[in-house]
Amino acid sequence: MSIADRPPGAIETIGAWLLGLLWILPLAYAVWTAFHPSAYATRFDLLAPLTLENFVAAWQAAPFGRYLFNTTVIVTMVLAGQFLVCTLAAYAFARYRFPGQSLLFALVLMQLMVMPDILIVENYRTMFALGLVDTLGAVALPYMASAFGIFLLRQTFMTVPKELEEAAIVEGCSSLGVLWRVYVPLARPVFVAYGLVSVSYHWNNFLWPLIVTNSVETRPLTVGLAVFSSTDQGIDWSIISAATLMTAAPLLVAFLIFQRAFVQSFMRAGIR
Amino acid sequence: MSKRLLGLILVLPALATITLLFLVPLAASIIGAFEIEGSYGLGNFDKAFALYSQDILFTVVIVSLSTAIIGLVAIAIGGYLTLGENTLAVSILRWLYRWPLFIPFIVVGQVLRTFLAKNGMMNNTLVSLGVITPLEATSFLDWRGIVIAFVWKQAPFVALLVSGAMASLDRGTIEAARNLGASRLRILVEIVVPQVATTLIVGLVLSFVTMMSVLSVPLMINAQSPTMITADIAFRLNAYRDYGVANALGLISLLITASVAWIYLKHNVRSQA
Repeated sequence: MSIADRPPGAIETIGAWLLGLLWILPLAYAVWTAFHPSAYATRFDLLAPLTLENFVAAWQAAPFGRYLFNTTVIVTMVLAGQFLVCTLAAYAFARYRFPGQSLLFALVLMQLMVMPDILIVENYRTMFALGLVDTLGAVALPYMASAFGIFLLRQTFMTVPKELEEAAIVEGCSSLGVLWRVYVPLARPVFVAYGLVSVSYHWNNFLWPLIVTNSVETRPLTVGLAVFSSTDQGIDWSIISAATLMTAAPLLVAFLIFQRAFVQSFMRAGIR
Repeated sequence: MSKRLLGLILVLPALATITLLFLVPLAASIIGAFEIEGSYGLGNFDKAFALYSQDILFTVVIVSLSTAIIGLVAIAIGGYLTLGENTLAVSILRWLYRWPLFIPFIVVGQVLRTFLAKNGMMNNTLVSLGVITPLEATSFLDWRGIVIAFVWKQAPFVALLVSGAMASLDRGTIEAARNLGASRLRILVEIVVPQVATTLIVGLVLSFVTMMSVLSVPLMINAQSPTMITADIAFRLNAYRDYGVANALGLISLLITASVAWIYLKHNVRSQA
């Protein structure tokens, strides 16, 4: 009898726990360091005293409240912009025929293959020319016309039965009314899935905001954390870990709350 | 208003953004890569290869190695979630494996930097457990740290895609193989993985492209030479304002990711033929 054929039992459960714990070890380590005095930062002791002082120290040492506000504004701007721009474009690509349509769609697909980070130098020059360097808008603008969003929504819109659209027109809906009342409600799971992917991507984005922002008023959490951990704190790992947790916490908490919805939407949307 | 005109108007905002922030900069960075003090040539590429050929090779090797390990880990996780018989173990794994998905790369770099250092938590724990002596403790803050960071962060993403595809497979063939006495490993390798190959490859290509553009991990874990192309680009820009070589490095990076995307497209075309 091979190992794989043995009836499942305690060994499998213990193995799963061990592997699982190994998997979250780095995160567990950050939690450990953040909630214990710095003397225990690299030493494991079950009886070590718990403390919240690292969080207080990190919060006082850098404007994390402001960084959190900036990140929230950026993520909201990007999401609102993407929903508007991508929905309109996807609707046009799915249901209208206009000159140059194939060429324009090919351009959208081309954008899928190029990471925006490659264009950083030139995008910086554009933002400079527009006078937008070191503004929240500059962080959000390059991501507004997401090729992934346009592609995903176009594919979804194309599966909507034409009869529904025709019925809505007979009822007196305008073209945009059809989009708003028929297409958008039917694509809701895709909007949710895309929204979650977009929020987690832009919450975590680092390189572009690092280049285009240079003041407390515009820096998002990720850049704030990098600045904080590289200059201010030397190697006080406990305070840095506390700051690190504060950066990731909102997203992790949201993930825990919306876990089921997220995974289901992700699967249903068939992101590929 | 005619339908043709309305279609164009609807696409216009996206078109303006794509032109201004994608097409124009792409063209400008390609031209910029060949531009040397007013004239054109391959000088920036010569310089990029002379200074950074080791880093380019290092990047390709590190990212390819990480991609391969991510594939194996994702298949293992997806396979266990699909074929595992111990419901408790399956639900533990299902609950735990997704955590790194929502942690920013910069946080991963930050956490691993303090965890893997010579005097970090990992070595101190191993020393206190008597597994190694203090003299044997070595820092993992080199290529190994980058690979660990990449695998930890990206494997859940690919595992999520792969396990979704595995869950939607026809259970009939799996049960038939099981009844004939095939081991779970054999079922996984011979029946399940071939059927989810396309999804697996898509996940791996997306991960490859993502890892190629990550700056925070190499900067935090392994800033010394050799390092990754992204760190070199940031260095050329910040230290020298050397747009030419930075653009050349960006273009080299783009060609590497484009060749990987090409493999995917080729695979896709073949599987649809």
